[in-house]
Amino acid sequence: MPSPDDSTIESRETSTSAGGRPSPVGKAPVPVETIRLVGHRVREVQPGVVQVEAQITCEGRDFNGAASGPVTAPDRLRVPALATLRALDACMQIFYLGVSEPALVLDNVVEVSVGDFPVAVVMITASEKVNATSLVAACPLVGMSDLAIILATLQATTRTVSHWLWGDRSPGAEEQDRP
Amino acid sequence: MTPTDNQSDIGGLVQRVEVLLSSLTAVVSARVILDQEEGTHVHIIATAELPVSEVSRAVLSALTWGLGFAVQSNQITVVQSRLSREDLRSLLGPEMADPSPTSVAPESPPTGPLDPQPSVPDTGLLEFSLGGTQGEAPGEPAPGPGPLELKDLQLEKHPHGGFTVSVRLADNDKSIAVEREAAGTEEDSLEVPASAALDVIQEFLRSGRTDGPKVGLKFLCARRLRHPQHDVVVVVVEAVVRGRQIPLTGAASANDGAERASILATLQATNAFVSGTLTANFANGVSAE
Repeated sequence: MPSPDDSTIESRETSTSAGGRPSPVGKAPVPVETIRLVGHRVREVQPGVVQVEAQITCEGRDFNGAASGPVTAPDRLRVPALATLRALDACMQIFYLGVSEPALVLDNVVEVSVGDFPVAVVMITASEKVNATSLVAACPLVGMSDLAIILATLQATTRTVSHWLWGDRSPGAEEQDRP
Repeated sequence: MTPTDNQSDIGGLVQRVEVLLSSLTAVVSARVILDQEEGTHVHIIATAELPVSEVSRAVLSALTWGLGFAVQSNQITVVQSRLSREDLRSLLGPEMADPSPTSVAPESPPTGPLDPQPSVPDTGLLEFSLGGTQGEAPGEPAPGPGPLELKDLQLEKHPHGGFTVSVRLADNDKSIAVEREAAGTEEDSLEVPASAALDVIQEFLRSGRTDGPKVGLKFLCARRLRHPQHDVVVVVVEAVVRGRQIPLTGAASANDGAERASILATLQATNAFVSGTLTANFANGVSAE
């Protein structure tokens, strides 16, 4: 089961550029103060073990997180979520300016049936100073969907992380009733 | 029909889909065909890094979850080549033969903290925002309306059981409220607030954009999930766009009550549709009022 101290988990900053960079599709440059998904990769690194890498970008810098774990459920569901949290952790190590050590802990990723629909629910505890907050998001499961779980993990966490990093300047920082 | 006019909504949408799909592992090229008679078809050219079935599943997931499209697996054709990604790019055209300098061949394993290159290909998913803004560049005009927010929730419990729930959602200065009666079972505490919120969302949609496809939203089901550390409400909503049924999900913590969580989960599930519709309306210069 992947865990935060799993030696196969890694995170790192992979590139930098000042003030955002041009989009490959020729659109607007990356705006500051947002966290965005760049891409992900899934590989079977050895029989029965899958590795997921997630790459996010924040203020023109790219951050990678990687995690590996068993290819079989239920722990398989945790691998993409953990890779995403590691990428976010790498981002916070660069940009977090507070004195406390904020943490995102993956509590679980479970598959449940809601009516006839298989749904993955990502459950995370976010803590900063003495405050601990429950963060959750859900995604429909169509087969094993790493991208869906990565997106759900980001959906659950980006507002909180943005608030930690940029306070009231973050998008939706004070909009707790805007999911 | 592949996009030839980036200014058109459909062309832009198709381009976004193709960029998203081209970013998936093993996918070298993606083409989306939108034909009203023949239906939608997605053509994928992939390397042999992953089995065809996995590529097909990834494409399905990306379309369903990433962009809210419902396509059937028989609408996706995956052609696999034994050529390398670079060779395929060279064959497919000069644009693809000259990848971004930040991209790295997907075969490269992660090499450690000193590796200066990103090991995940830079896929150009820069419009695939998860940060809560609309992707506007600094200095550009502020975006239009964003997702709806829960402005007010009133619960009045009746002495004989049951309750009245009043839900008010807001989009900037405009707000709409509804009131519903519920019998008071646990199912009601999830379904009635979610359905009420959905009625308001539909009302916002009706008063919004008129030039795009008609979007219908239908509450399907909700479930409370009591985990040792998390008390969660999960809601599934069905969006119907051009006859296609798309399941949408949302989840919210029930720490402040199941009714509130049910509404927030419904908003989370429908954010993409509502925000896109109202923002497009704003951009078109049509007041939402």
